[in-house]
Formats: sequence, C-alpha cells, structure tokens
Amino acid sequence: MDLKRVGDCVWEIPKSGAMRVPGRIYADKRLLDLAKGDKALDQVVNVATLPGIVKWSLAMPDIHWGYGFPIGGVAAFDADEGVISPGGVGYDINCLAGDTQVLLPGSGTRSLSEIVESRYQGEILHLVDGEMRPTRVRAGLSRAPGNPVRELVTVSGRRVVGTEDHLILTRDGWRELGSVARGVRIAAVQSGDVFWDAVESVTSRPDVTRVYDIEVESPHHNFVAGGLVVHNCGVRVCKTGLRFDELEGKHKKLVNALFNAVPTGVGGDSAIGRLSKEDGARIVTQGAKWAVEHGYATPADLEHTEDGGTMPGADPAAPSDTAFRRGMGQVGTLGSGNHFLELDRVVEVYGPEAESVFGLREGDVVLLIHCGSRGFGYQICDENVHDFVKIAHRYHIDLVDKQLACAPAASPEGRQYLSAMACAANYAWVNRQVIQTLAGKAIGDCLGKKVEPELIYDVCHNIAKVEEHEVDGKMRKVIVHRKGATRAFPPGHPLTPGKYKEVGQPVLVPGDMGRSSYLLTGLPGAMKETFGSTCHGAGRLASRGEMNRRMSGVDLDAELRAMGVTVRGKTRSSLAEEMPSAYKDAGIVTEVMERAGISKRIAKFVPFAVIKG
Amino acid sequence: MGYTFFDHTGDIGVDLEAPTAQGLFSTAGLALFEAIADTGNVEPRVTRTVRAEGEDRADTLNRFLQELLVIFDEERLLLPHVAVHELDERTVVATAAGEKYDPDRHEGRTELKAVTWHQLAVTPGPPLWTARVVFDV
Repeated sequence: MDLKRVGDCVWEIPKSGAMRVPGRIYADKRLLDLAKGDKALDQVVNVATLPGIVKWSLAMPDIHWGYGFPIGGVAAFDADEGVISPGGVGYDINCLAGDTQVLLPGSGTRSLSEIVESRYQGEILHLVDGEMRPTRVRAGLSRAPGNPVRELVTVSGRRVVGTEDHLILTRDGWRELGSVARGVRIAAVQSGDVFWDAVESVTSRPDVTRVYDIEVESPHHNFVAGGLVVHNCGVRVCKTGLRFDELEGKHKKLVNALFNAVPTGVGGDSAIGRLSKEDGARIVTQGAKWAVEHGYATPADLEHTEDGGTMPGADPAAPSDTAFRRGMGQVGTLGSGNHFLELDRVVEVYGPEAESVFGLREGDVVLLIHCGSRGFGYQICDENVHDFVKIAHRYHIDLVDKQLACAPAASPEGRQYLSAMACAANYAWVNRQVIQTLAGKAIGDCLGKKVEPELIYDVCHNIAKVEEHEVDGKMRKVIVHRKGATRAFPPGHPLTPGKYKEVGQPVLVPGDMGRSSYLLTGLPGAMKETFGSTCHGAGRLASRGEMNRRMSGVDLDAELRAMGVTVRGKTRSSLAEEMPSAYKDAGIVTEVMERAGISKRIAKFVPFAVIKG
Repeated sequence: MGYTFFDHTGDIGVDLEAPTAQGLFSTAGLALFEAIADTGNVEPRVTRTVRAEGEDRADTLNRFLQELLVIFDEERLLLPHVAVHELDERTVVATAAGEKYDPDRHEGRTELKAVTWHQLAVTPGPPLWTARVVFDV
C-alpha cells in the first residue's frame, strides 16, 4: 500500500480506486509497521469508499483489524445525503464446466450451471487486487466447448475444469489453462482469503460436452453512509479520595472485595436483580438520570459524563424485545473479554491543571471501569447488521464485507438504528454508574470507612453520533463514527462541561492491566483533523489463542505481581488473553496523539488491583 | 462430527464438520456452548424449542446460533444437546436440552457478544458438511 507522510505522525493513503476520500493514519514508524501486519489498513480504504463520507477515513494509532470498520477507526458521514452512483466494470469468467463451484459472499458455493440456468440474481465473489469482493451476475450462457477441455487438480484437492483458453490466475499473472503445468502456483480461496495452491495434476476431459460463461458486473462507488457496527462500550475514571500508601498490604483484600461485589464473567447475575420491561424502558431512555433517581449517581456524576449521561433520541420501541430479554438481567455487570475494573495509582502528572482542575496528585488512587451495554447492545448491533444486509439491495448497496453493513442515515432503517443505539448508550452509562456504586461500597466496607467515588469523566469509545464539524470551511451536520476511538473536544467547546471548559474534554485511555493508563484532554487540532477524536486504548497485538499458547505454563499471578499488580479473574484463560504483552504500549499511542496536536496528557496511572471477567 | 476452535484476533472461530446438515447444526450448537463454558457434565434436564429463519443456509446457521446465545443470556441455560427436527435452506427447528449454568459445576470460559458473519460459510457434503463460524468475544 502506498503511504505518504503528511505530518510528524500522520500518514496518508492517497485516494485511489473507489475511495471517495483519502485515508489518514496517526502513527509513528513503529506503530505504522504494526498496523501493516493485519488487514486494518485495507479496512481504512474500504471505509473511504462509503458514500457521504467527508474529508478522511481516519485511523488512530491503536488501530487493529476489526469487523468491517477497523478498530481505532473514525469517519464522518453527511447526516442527510447518501450518494449513490453505480458504475460497472465488465469482468469475465470464461468457459468452465457446469459443476464448477462459484463462491458466494459468506455462504458457500453454487454451481456454475445452476447460476446460468436459474438466472441467479444474487451476488458471487470475484477477485479484486488480491481480495475477494462480491459482484453480481450480468449475463450467462452455456455452449459446447470450442476448445479442448482440461482438468486441473491442486495439492489441496481443488479442481478446475475448463477450456484450454480459460484464463486462470497464477503467481505470475493470468495464464491460459492449457499452459498451466504441474507445480505451477495458482490462486485458490480459503475462507475468503486468497492463497497460492500448487497444481498436482493436469488431465484431458473430452467427456465434458457443455461449458458455461458468465459475465459479471463489478460495481464501485455505491455504498451508503454507515458501517454502524458498534457495541457502545466506554470507560470512566473516578477519584476515590484514597492514597496509595494507606492501602499497603490490603491489595489482595480489596481485589477480593471488588470481585465479590461486582458480577463478572460468564453468567454473572446482576447485583440489582432482573429488571422489568418498564424499568428497562426508563433506563434506555433516561440513561444516567435513572441512576440518580435510584441512588446510583449524583448530579455531579451526570455533569461529568459524555452527553450528561443521556443520549437524546432514544426510543424504547426501537430495540427488539430480544435485546431487552438479553440485557435486563445484566445491569451492573462487567462481562468478560477485555472489560475490567481496576484501582490505579497516579504515578505522574504532566502539568499544574492535573491538580487545579482534576484534583489529582501523584500517589492518589483512582477507580477505572471499562464495560458497555452488555447483551442489550450486542443484540441491537447483531440485529441491525443482519437487517442492513437484507435491505442493502433496496438502497443499491453492495457490501464488500457483510460486517460493513450499512443503511442511509436518513432512511427509516438508519433512523431506527440511531435510536436503538442511543438506547444502548444510555444502558451502558447506567451500567457503569451502577458498577461505580457497587465498587465504592465494596472498597468502603473493606477499609471500614466511607468511600464515595467521584466521577472525573465517562467517555464512549464505540459509538456513532450526530455532531457539527467544519468541512470545506462550512459547518456541517455529520454522523461521526468512533469505532474504538474517543471523543476529544478541545478547550472552549460548547459540549465540554463547565469545570473542564478551559482545559478541554477529559479522555481516559486505558492501557493493559500491567502498564499505564492515561488521562488526556482534547486539543484544537482534534477539531481540525479528526472530527474531535483521539485514540481509545492500547490496541491489541496478539490474538487470544496466541496469548493462551504463549502463557501456557506461566505463573500469571507471579508475573503480574512482579509488575506490582494483584489480579483476580474468573478463569485462567481470561487473564492469559489479556496479559500486557497482548497489547501495544498505551504510552506510545498517547504520545503520538500529543505530537500530532490532537490530545494532551494530563496524568498517568498504573494499576495495582484488577478484576476481570 | 466435530468442531475445532481456531484463533481470530480478539475473537474465537470454530470449524465444524458433520456427515449431515442436521449434524452440522447440532455440532454448531454444542460448539457455541463449549465456547461459553465446559459442558462436559451438562445433563439434558430442561429443553427449549429453537426456531430460526435465514436468507440461506449460512444465514440460517448464524440466526440459529444467535437464538441459542440469547437463551443463554436471558435464562442462563447451557443447552449443548441439540436435536434438529426440521431443516432446509431457510429454516431450522430444533430442541436444545441442558441445564442452568452453575459456575461451581460448569467451568465458565468466555462471554460471547454475537455470532458474526465474518468468514461465515457452510459447505454441503458429501462426504462431509463443513462450516466456519466466528464468535465476537
């Protein structure tokens, strides 16, 4: 991929092919090399092809491969317009035997003869720049072979039967089937990925009396604003009023108290019981206001939550009954995966505002909570991806990747989704708020004193929001997608709460469970370049399975203890998968955003007591 | 019949195989619950009828697994014993049997957020029906 350096820490993927805007990646050289290791940069390009996208398809330095959108991806789409401009490039598959299996997007195969004879209208996959992309059949025909027919069988058992003049993709480019001999590497597909398979045998097939042709369209330029695959998780940081020194020798006791008070992991039942549909409807429309009414939050907590803890436009009729079924027994639960709750020590402050505005001094103890909207939000996301895939044809959307499912933002389906997503965001705020209260009580009981965590700030890092941003010198209403990215409004922004007006909106970037997390604030550069967004975390480096293998036989407790961390998780594997070496260093990620003028570090935290699902 | 879990950055994938389409769906149900918890000693004490509809075979498998996942989140039931009664390209009706998740008896593994369409594929037999599913963790 062709990358142009356009700033100290900014790299551009110039507009090419179906891209509507250039891609931009925030990274230093090392992080950029890491990003090249998976398909995340291709996903930045995919997002850039969606209609209505404005300025750039962006990637934060914690970018890694996600579903559809890259994680660490930010993109803004015009809120009203969805441009559709179909184009077509002819692409031929010549003269193959009728039982040749043609790959369909995501769902197996169909024989070539069946495609031709049934006048198949659906999508099939074809190869574009080494990637499988869907396209549609434009015309098909069957005829007697005009040239001798041959059969190739590969080492992996794949089989192609076609006329000698049929072109086949080899490692040296397209070649006529008749010229391909044993040992030649030809392109084959395994689970959507292309690999080079070796030809094992070539035989003549005079018995084949009928071959088939199909011509396919290869449309570009016709995606509509969306890519709404979000789970609404976020993170909050609270002051505890405790000093690190006074907790010496009590870390284990604290971890156990927190583990018993906050439900975690598989099947963790809500500490506040299963809620009625009526209470559920109130939670998802009122958000953190519900928590204030029920004694789980103070008015100050609301002020220090993004959007005041209530995302507007939430209609409880928008999420399905199934979403309510999944989520109503999970309010106040942490879940598993990368979600966590931890106590951290402030180890470094970067300026006087850390104390004057945030009240943070070195040696203070803060509480960090990372989780989301639980089964409620997962279900909303799942159902909408599914529905958007089904209705894609109605809006002439061809999906390069089903997980990039989208609908025009202004369509009834798009509006319904935004409303359901607001419900999920509200649920997530209530969830984190209830956990904050449970944790405060557990810490207090453990230490024999009253502990009331005071929220510094709560941010979403998986959400789409309608916001106003400057595009080409004019203010425009856009929908900003932050998929594994955090809002970071600068000083003076109207949506930054009063207390933080002069320093900018606070952002918490959690690191892994052994190394540092950071409190940041937004800078003016964020409004100019990233739609008011910055990074959200460290960014995963190693897969869960790889971590399980690497950590096999390792004493995880001892390893973490050596880093000064006491941890308790539901299972060994949930700890192994989240060990620090699975992640990039959040220190480097946040430094890049500071060098780029997007966000600034206020304080650095290091964990000492962690609970995981 | 069988299933093999494989790596996918941050998530869990599973490759499935069975001699029949029905067997493939049963195995997929078992694999889903095995991702969530050790089902080795889950007895078929309660049953739930599960229906799902999809656009095609792969979509139907995806919807079927998602339905089992919803039952787990709602009722905390591990239902790894799956008998498929009706199955065609677009519909499935099955009975899933098991018992309530008990963390003391069934070792919990991981929560699943969703059954994704990422790399989703069903390939009919003969000889074997195979499928690939990725769970969002």
